[in-house]
Amino acid sequence: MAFVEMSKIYKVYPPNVVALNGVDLSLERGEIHSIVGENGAGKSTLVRILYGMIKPSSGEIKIDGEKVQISNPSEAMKLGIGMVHQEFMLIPSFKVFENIILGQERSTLGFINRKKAAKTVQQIIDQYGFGVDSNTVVSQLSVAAQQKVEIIKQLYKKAKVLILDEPTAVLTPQESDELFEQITRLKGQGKTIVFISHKLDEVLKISDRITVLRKGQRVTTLENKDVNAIELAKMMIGRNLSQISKRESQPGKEVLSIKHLSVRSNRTNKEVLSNVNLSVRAGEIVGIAGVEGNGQYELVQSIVGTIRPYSGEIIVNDTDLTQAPIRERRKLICYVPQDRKYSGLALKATMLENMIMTHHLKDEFKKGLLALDWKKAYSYAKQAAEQFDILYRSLDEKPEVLSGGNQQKVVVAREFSLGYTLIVLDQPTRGLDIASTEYIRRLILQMRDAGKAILLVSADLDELMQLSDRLYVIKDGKIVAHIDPSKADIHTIGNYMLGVVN
Amino acid sequence: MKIFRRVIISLLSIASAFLICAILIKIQRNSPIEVYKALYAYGLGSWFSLSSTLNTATPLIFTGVSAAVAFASGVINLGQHGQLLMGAILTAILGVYLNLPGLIGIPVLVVFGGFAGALWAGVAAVLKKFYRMDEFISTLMLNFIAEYFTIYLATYPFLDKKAYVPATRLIKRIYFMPDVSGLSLAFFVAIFSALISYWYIKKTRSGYELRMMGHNINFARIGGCSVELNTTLVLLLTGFLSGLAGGLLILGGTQHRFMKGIGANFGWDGVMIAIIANNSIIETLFYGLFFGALKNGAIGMEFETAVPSEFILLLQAVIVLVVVGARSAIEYYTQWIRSLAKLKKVVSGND
Ligand SMILES: Nc1ncnc2c1ncn2[C@@H]1O[C@H](COP(=O)(O)OP(=O)(O)O)[C@@H](O)[C@H]1O
Ligand SMILES: [Mg+2]
Repeated sequence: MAFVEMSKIYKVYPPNVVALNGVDLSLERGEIHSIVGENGAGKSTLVRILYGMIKPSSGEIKIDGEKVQISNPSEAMKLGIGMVHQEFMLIPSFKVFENIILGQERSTLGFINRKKAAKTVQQIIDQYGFGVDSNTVVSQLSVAAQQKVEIIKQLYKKAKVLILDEPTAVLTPQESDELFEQITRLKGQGKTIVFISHKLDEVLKISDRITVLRKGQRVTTLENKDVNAIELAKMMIGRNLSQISKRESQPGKEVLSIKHLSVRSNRTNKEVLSNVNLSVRAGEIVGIAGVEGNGQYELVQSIVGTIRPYSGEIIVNDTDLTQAPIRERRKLICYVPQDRKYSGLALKATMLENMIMTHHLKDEFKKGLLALDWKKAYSYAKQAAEQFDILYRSLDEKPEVLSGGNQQKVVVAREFSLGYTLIVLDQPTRGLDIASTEYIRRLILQMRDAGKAILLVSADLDELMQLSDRLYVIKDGKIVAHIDPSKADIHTIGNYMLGVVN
Repeated sequence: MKIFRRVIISLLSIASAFLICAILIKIQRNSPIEVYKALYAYGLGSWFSLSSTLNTATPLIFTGVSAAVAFASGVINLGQHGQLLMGAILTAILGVYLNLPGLIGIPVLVVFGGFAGALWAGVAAVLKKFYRMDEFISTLMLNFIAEYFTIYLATYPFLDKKAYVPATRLIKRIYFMPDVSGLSLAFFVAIFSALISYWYIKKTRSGYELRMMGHNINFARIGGCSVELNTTLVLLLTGFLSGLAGGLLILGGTQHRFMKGIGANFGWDGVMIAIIANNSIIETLFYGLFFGALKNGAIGMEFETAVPSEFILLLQAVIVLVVVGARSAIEYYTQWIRSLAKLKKVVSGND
């Protein structure tokens, strides 16, 4: 009998997003069970239901053959189900063991024996070979180490099933390998691991069984040994993956030039960017690789103008923009921000209003002294929405009802149709399904071939390798390497990102 | 379609608010029919009632539109009360001392009232720009200062010695706002200002930027909108609107002088109206008129029945709760019902 049995699970998010459509999932003891599927396939929803975070619209869950109701995470915990989220839930100022025992304090007469607690936690850490010191303050740990703390926390709570939702999304290739070793060790101790990813090589490396989801439905569950990456990809997206091919770049004149750029943090006054020099020429894609939080964000923000540099120069098309306000910069720069909900879109405004942003600064949309030429705006937006294959019903509709892929297309359509030579892209395909990702990557290449100068910041090394003509690696706010991606492999770049080589 | 739904929701909510209050009246052993009859007769029933309703609605429309424009732009101007008072006091003082022919004097005085309101809101803009003080706090605080400052002016330097209460002197007769058989021209200024505001926020480039700031300020900033300048602009504009309300209260009202309590509750009523109207200017106009009718009808209701005019405050509160509550409840439940329908379709499609 299977250990955990989820059957006929449905989930409809109001008003009408069918996230799960009759999905079955069974988990055995001591297996690594991967769930693969594109972004939006329903992976997170499925495991969140198992963890009691979300109520299914219908369906049932059995554990050891017995029907259970899991209406919140602490009930899941009692049944031995633990989960590590995509976002960590740790208190940065607390020590490792304090974070781990938080909410699970074993006390005598209301007093927590801190020494004993620290020791118990350290025992677990050593037992599974995590190599973390239980007395370190969490804020001093790397992302990978914080993830370990989350896993230890679940083990401390005696989880028998450990759910990891896209754990490798925040890790470098090396760190991922380490995680896989630990997962395998946990499996050896009889734990069940649910591993979610959309990176197929990882899944094939470690899983015993694989469940494939597509558009909220289970395509199949199969043994790892019976399948290869190409077949798996086909099941995931329902067709063959197409290859994106790329011509040689024909770089022209320099469009973006950054000289000796340094930025200091407002809070700590520490340098978050030090002496960065880079250039982007027309007709090339320049990638920025690095572990997140190493200055990429500050780099992009100083180009766009939300951050004032401490020293250095930012020159676009021979215009010095170092001190220019955002408004002036946006008359020269197309910009796709990393978070479409935070700054890319106004989800509750109309599509039209979202499409006209920044364009409204152009003379062609002025009508009279004050008015905006809404008629012209409408025909531009309609034309752009069609040109960029956005699936929408009307321009009066709000972007909040669009899928993530289409929302991103709205941003990309708006920015690319601005028509300026410099395009700054910050994580342009993050969180998108494969079809939209491919679509946007093709567009980026088209833009390059049309002579645009493109700066591409991405946490996805595959994307950088695929698109970039040149690649800078950034670490601790410094450019540590300048690489030709056609001549380097992903591990070399990973080493630069981690600072293993200099 | 959307507009149609909004109208229906509003009408249903108002109807249910009246129903709820009818029950409360009944519990108090009064006749709801009598009460509502009186409310209608004195609110809308005759030209006299209607014209005084429109006069009562005039300041509400100004403060309501002021709040709606500010909130729609993401600027929390809660200083309508103080801005109105500053507009009123300046107009009242200039109305005594200024020597201009009526035809020029009236518009000049009105505009000066607006400027006084704008200037007062401008203090909040300065505090925001240079000291990063939230306008939400500063406009609130400025209300208190305006309250005491205007009373001081009316009690000491500009006191009319012949008046029984602290008040400034009567403004010159030539500055009295003309009326059309009882309906003050101020009302038309209010309608005109509301329409201009509507055009500005809906059609102009600047208005577009303002609305986008209200939706998502990061989106607007990154998109190249001049967020800081716009915030200042909104404070000045909405201060101006409230200031107009004050100036017109002096020129168009019945007292023609600044007296303690002249601002009544217009500032807060405006904020409330904007909230019920979901910051839509057209709806603000409608609710301004509606609350004007209630306020005016309340006086008659007190004449005719045993129900005190304070009852209207209750009715207003119930309307606010029902309208605002109904809006989110209806939203929530239609989504919920749609998701159930979808589930049913999906499940049956699979079998
Ligand atoms: N809280 C939510 N409200 C509405 N829709 C949601 C919510 N969470 C997820 N969705 C939608 O449900 C679908 C499945 O999402 P998710 O389970 O996160 O997929 P995955 O983890 O495979 O990327 C997507 O279309 C997503 O947009
Ligand atoms: Mg997910």
